[in-house]
Amino acid sequence: MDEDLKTSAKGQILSIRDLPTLPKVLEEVTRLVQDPNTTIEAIAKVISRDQVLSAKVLKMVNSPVYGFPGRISSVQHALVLLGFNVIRGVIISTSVFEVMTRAMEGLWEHSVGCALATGLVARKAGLKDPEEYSVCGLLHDLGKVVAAVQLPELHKAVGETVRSQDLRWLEAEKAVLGFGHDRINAWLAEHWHLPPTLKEAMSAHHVPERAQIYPQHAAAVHVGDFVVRVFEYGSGGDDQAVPLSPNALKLLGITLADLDEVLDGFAENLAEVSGVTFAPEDADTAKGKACN
Amino acid sequence: MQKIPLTLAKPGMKLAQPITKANGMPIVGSGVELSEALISRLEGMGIEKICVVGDAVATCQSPSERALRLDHLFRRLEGDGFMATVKAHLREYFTIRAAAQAAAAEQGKG
Repeated sequence: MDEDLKTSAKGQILSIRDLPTLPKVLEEVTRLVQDPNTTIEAIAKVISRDQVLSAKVLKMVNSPVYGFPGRISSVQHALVLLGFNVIRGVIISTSVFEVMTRAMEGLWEHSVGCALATGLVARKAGLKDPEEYSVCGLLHDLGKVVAAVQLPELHKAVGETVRSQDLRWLEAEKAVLGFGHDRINAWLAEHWHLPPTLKEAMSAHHVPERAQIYPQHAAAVHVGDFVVRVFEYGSGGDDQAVPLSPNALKLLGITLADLDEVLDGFAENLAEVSGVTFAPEDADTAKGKACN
Repeated sequence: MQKIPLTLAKPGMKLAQPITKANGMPIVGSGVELSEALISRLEGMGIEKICVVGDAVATCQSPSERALRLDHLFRRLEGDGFMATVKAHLREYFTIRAAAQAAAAEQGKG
């Protein structure tokens, strides 16, 4: 592929007109959060107004991914326990769920699995607010979805390159597009004003040592991605292990032996996590709701 | 042990943990084998998740299966010293877990 095509592909991705639109609620909530006088009650009220969205958020936060299975009964409760950054990530994930499952088979499972594994890694490493790490895991491959939606032909070419040359998805992206989903992630995070922790985790999860401010977030997702691939739960587009960075383990202060506990936790909770989907009937109701 | 949604429960599976109502009241003790009737009763009571013995729901993620897949997954990482260590560690981990599971299944029969 020549240089021109690469540049145009990039432009096409960046002119993100058909991107899954984030719910209006999110904008409103983001504005509220920036106001120092806002209360949790006010934010919860805005989210609760969209009942379908609230139901989806509650379903997600009550999954074992976040470590409070079945115990969060209201949006306000979720906000207090998990914080706004996590809820924002959850809202984004519910909004892209449909397009994600359509765009790339297995990617939703891979993402939810990565969220579970990343949270377990963060807990093992004794990091504060492990739920924030889970949400980083959940959204780490968002760039792949966007590429699939914006550049369907090139996306197909990437898939073919993976199969014909036995490459990992990221390698094939670089060969076909000239850049990987990590780059798209960085741009998306900027576009949606995601918190810097999430941005760094999304853009540096393949090379955690490149993260400048939050290397631990990137490292936790890096290890989480490795774990979910070892279990081959869902698919990130190829069937290979990713090279595990020894630096990532060092950054997190964990050893290979510590991974055993993560693997145990993953295996134990996997069946339950696999139930975390937002079925089509949810989407239909969502459409009805949006028309009011 | 595996925690599964009730929708995946099948007759013949054995409970690894007692089922309790939200208020803590026990409904069924651990070790009980599920039957069609019991499952529908649980559905009626609004129970959503249960813990069952062993790897009751085949997810292709069983430890023995994983140990066998390592060579395939790591096929392009041969020759990388650290990844060889990682792979050896995973192989040992999955082999031990598979053995533990087989032993538990054996005990369950006896």
